[in-house]
Amino acid sequence: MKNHRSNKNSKPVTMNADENLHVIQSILHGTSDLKTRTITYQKSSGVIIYLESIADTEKIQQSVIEPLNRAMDDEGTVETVITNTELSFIEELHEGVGKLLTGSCLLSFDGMCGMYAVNVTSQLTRTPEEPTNEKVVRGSHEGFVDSLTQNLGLIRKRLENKNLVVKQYVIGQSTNTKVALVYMDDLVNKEVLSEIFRRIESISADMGFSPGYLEEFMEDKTFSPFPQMLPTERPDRTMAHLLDGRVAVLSEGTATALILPVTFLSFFQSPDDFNSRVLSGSFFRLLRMVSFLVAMTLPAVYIAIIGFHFEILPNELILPVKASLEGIPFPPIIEAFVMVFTIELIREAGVRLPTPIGQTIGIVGGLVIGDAVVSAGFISNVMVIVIALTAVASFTVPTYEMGASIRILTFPLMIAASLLGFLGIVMGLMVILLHLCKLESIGTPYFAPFAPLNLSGLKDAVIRFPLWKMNNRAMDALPQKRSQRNTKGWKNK
Amino acid sequence: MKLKREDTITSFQFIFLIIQAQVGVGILSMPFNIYTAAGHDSWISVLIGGCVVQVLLILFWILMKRFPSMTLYEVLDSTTGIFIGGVIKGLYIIYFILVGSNILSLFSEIINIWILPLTPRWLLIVLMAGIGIYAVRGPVKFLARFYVFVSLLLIVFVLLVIYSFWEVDYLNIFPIGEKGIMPILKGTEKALFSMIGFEMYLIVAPYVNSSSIKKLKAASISNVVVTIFYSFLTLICILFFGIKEFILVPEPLLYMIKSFSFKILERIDLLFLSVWIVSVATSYMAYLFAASRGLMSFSKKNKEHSPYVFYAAILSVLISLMPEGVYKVGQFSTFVTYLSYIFVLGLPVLLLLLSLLTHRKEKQQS
Repeated sequence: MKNHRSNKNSKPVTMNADENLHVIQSILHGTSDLKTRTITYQKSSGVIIYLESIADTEKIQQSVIEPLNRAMDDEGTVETVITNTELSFIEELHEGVGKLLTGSCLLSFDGMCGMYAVNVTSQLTRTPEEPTNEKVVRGSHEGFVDSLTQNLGLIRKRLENKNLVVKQYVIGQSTNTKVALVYMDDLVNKEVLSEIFRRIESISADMGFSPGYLEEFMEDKTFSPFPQMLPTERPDRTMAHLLDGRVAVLSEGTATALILPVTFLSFFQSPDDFNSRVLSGSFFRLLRMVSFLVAMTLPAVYIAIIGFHFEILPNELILPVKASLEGIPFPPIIEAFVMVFTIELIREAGVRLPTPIGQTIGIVGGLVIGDAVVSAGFISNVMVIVIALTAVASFTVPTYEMGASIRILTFPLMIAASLLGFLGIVMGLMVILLHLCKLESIGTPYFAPFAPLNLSGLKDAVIRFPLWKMNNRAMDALPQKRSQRNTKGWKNK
Repeated sequence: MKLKREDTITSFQFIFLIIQAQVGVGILSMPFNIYTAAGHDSWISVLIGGCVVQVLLILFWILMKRFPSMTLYEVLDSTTGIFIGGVIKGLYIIYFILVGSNILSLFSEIINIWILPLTPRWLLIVLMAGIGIYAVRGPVKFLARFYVFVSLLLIVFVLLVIYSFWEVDYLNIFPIGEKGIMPILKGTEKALFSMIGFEMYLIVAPYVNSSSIKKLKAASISNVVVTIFYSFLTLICILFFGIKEFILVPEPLLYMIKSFSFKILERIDLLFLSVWIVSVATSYMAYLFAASRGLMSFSKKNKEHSPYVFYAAILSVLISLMPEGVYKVGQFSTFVTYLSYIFVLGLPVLLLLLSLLTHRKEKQQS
């Protein structure tokens, strides 16, 4: 590991096994999980050193101790005897300590100028389960787990291709977290890739523990309300994005892959779109886009109508709306804020609670507060309907991050609507749209294929075309190859 | 595919950039203005106006072809010399800022009349300028992306207007050419003023990443689209109102749309105005860009227009606050439109003649 090797006072391994052990113990400050076992091999006595917490004792026994015992009197070097797949010879003590920390055991013998490091890492594995926040109705039910190698395996299993490349980095001065970049070498845009390399190499942090950390260090605009990288726990989704020429970033200890560069629309797509039929898939997508607009603007439009443009309502509607507003003590903006705030409270309270309590909170919050607040005459009926609709719409977005961004954007729009009516909404939407047009994800346009407009890209945007109509890859990640082989190959006779 | 680092736009985006610069604040009162001069033959005036614009565009094209990588400002520097060029550049910047403030004051006036009678004008103007600043700072390509996207709203515009076809009287345009040719030509003059915006060709052309003839094609397409759009609007207004009623409605489009109502929307003119605000914003942004690009050309080391956007916007806000009341705003607007004779018609043609006579061209870099 980097910081061990670069240590200035690194010492060479001595001929005395006991002395080596003492030095290692002092480097690790006498930690209690450092275990040793003495061993003799070809009449020289030695010691096996390992960290009990991350080394697998079974593996040590099978691939180190047993072979050494069996070959006690034979001629032969340690390399030929030990059956483990990963064995290296080490001459520096700090390098040895680094190996020890990644789960190797060290073999030190008297009279040998160096040590052997054997990889005996214990694999703590979790079986792939379906990610709870990215469920699909049909299709793969596998999700990423917390182990990096296993996650890479899940991707490789789906993409048996010689062009799939994994590049490993180590991030975090204290944590030494392994981070892997995965991409298709024949598809990914080299300039985008080198920009990602440049950004990831220049990260300097103590801790690199989650994709959220990486995202913040690598994204173009931190204060933008829109997420510029797509976090996903689905291997099939990751694979589909890799085949569009994008890059996936995975890190050890998290079950989330970050996809970059992405567009605004990727947050509204779900693998389900392609598992269901063309018409229904398109309908669901359209529904999500509409719900995005509803979630963002509905409270603002309602406030604007109540406050400024009552005359826009047709006669038949004026009476019921006016009747529900009768006797409400607050202006519509306060009403809306109170209701949106309540809903956010219920959501935030429910997220981290265990499911049964979460449900109770939902019922108490939703039904009881909603009903009581109306019958008490604080909030109008129509406002409750509007806010409830908004909340439901904001949860139809398949990615949690984008849903959160939308909910944040409602507030400025509501304020603008209460100050200037429709004019305020239009101005607010213009600023949001301008921001979307200006936003880039690693140098590629974020709001593609709308801006810049790309007609063939629209085939897979708001609605989805049949697969055999999509002969061109999504161009927003600027892949090397444009064409994509999707043909039916047969025709009706 | 390469990552685009340099700031260029495609000829497709160029079409919409010019359309959006042209279609703007004037669209609401345009049919009325032309009608006062040309009567029920106004739509012919608009078509003739389109032809005049096309001739001008071709002249612009010949001029810009000689200086492919320069905007109007650099052309001025290299044909008329630093001093005279500098003065004319300054005048152009002032002209663009004046047009920008004219847009702002007309916008605030109409909003005051139609939607928000009590909101102070300065607030509307400052907000609009703020959006302009945010939009124009940064590369032109972002602006072009925005223009292309909001052009979808023009379709809403057309649809709302098409609805009125059910309620028109076709006899209103007859007899064609009743008053003779002179009133039609006078109407053409008014029509030209609402088509102002195509002079963006002189500023944006070097940013377009395509051959010179394609740029002309793009500009021509946008001219054709705008001409047809305008004459369609004028025609519909004439058909809808007839002769007697027309003189009473200074914003004929709004009055016309106001008279319709759907089952779920009673006042469609509010929807129409909301869409119109976006068009106003885009043409204001175009002029703001032109002015700040001009300010940039004075600096030797600065290669970006972004730092100057703020100053141009402040100037336009201050100027737009000066005229108050419908009458003063109208006067200011007339003044600015007459200025455009000099800056859109006179000076570019002079410049073309000068460069043709002196055989000045941009040096080809090998």
